[in-house]
Amino acid sequence: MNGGKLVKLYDLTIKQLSDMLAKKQISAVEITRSVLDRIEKLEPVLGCYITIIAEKALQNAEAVQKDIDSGNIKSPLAGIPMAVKDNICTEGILTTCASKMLSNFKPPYNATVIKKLYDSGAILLGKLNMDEFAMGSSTETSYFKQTRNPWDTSRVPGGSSGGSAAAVAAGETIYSLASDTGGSLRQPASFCGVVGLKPTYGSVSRYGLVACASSFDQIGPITKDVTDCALVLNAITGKDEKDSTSANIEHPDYTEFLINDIKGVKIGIPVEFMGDLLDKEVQKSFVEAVDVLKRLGAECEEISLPSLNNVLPAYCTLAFAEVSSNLGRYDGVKYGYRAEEYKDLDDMYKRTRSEGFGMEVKRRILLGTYALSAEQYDKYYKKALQVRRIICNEFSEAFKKYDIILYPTSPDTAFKFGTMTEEPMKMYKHDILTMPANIAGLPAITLPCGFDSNNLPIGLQMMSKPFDEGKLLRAAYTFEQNTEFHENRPSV
Amino acid sequence: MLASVQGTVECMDKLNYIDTSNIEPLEHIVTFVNVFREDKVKASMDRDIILSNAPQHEDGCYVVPRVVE
Repeated sequence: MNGGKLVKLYDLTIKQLSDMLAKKQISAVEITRSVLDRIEKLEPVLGCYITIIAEKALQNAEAVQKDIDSGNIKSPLAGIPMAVKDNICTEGILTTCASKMLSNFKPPYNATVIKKLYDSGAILLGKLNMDEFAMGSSTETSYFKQTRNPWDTSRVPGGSSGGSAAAVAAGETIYSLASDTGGSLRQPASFCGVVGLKPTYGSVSRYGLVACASSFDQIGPITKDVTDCALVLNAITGKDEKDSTSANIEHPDYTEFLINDIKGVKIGIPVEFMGDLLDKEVQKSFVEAVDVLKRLGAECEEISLPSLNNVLPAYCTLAFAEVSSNLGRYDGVKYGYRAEEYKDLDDMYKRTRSEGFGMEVKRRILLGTYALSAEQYDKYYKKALQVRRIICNEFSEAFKKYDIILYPTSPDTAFKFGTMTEEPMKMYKHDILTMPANIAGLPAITLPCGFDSNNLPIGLQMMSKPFDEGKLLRAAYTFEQNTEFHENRPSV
Repeated sequence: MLASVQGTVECMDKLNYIDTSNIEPLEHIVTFVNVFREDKVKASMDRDIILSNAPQHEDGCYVVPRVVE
């Protein structure tokens, strides 16, 4: 049988393709070719990729197919094409962080997640567009290009991982990896109608992830459904001696949590994130989603987490402080961009950084440096660290009573280009629903739960206590199995 | 730029209205301390590979503008 020729392979999930590969109905080369054709067709419109390695991908697909045939690789990810955000280091392949500063940077090593995926037989297609150094919520701060939302190309895909989310939604990759510092993975996944999981801080090695705000950053998968999410999570989690903040715990087989049953699960809905904060259509879809979960046997009730009102100032202070410190390394000496003309060493640093960084990156470096300055340290940075503890404590208390905390992923659906570029505070505020998981290091998943009147996807967000991804996957899987939102594809 | 920076500082200023008495700062959310590995000598990355990304290098060294007269 040659079923692969009849269906759009690029539209299928990892699980579906992996089953077809096992039955020898298709080959890794056919899948890769199908996705590459899709990329060729849609890239001029969507602009998801910064770098595409078509030829290399086909060669790898051929090699992996041999390994599958000989039984050398058994992972469900073997032979499945994927792509990663351009802040994850890939040996010998451009890793630009969508910045002029790293526009010529070819890492001499692979990030641990890349090594793990290669070992699983994954086929890398290329590197995905993002906001510069992962700073933004719309992918508009990319130095290279705009990425368009496949559901409505006049709108942003979200950010910072806009390329990672748009490519999955449009079939320009089967799945992707992205990073999440304040919602950078979940918000675009929500805007593009796909599933995204930010794992617990320490679940996935950050080695080879270009640092944004190190105590917030975490790599996670963006997939077409919850099953695929569990499959990728299985491959990328684990202790890594190259990342001292990676947790030394035994990770379960996450596919064992793909159980269609949510009876008796206790769900808390914080009142602080309801009401006027949310767009009316988002609110409506959310209420309907809660009804679905109740009908399936979950016990949902409103709770109050007052410290959520302090998320924004705490996040801005801490994340920007870490940004300012992390980005000090770009000095035009060891790698990356160097100004063409300069008088002396100091002048070289200044010109290199002035010319190499975009406005949003500069804004955050300035703010973070200010918050860390000797005169302001106690007033901002130390104070924000105290507020961080208050927020964490409040979540710990809540998780003594509730299995899951539930609210929408984003207060709004995808917005038009240019709507917020002149108003950074408005853009930061837009991430207020995703920031708490990063502040407290909690795992959080987003999955489609509706569409607004413009046919734009709405995302439902679930959080659980640290290292309890299994509980999230089970609840998300149950919701997904009893709804049809994840089956919709954009008609781009 | 100035206006947007000012706007964010005003947001950060809200921290000072929050009661944080008797609250210890939380520097990092991971709880593990002293993550050690065995002190074993290992080959590091090849110098030429590292230097290949440098904007300017010579005789195995990075080149920067003169800093001492």
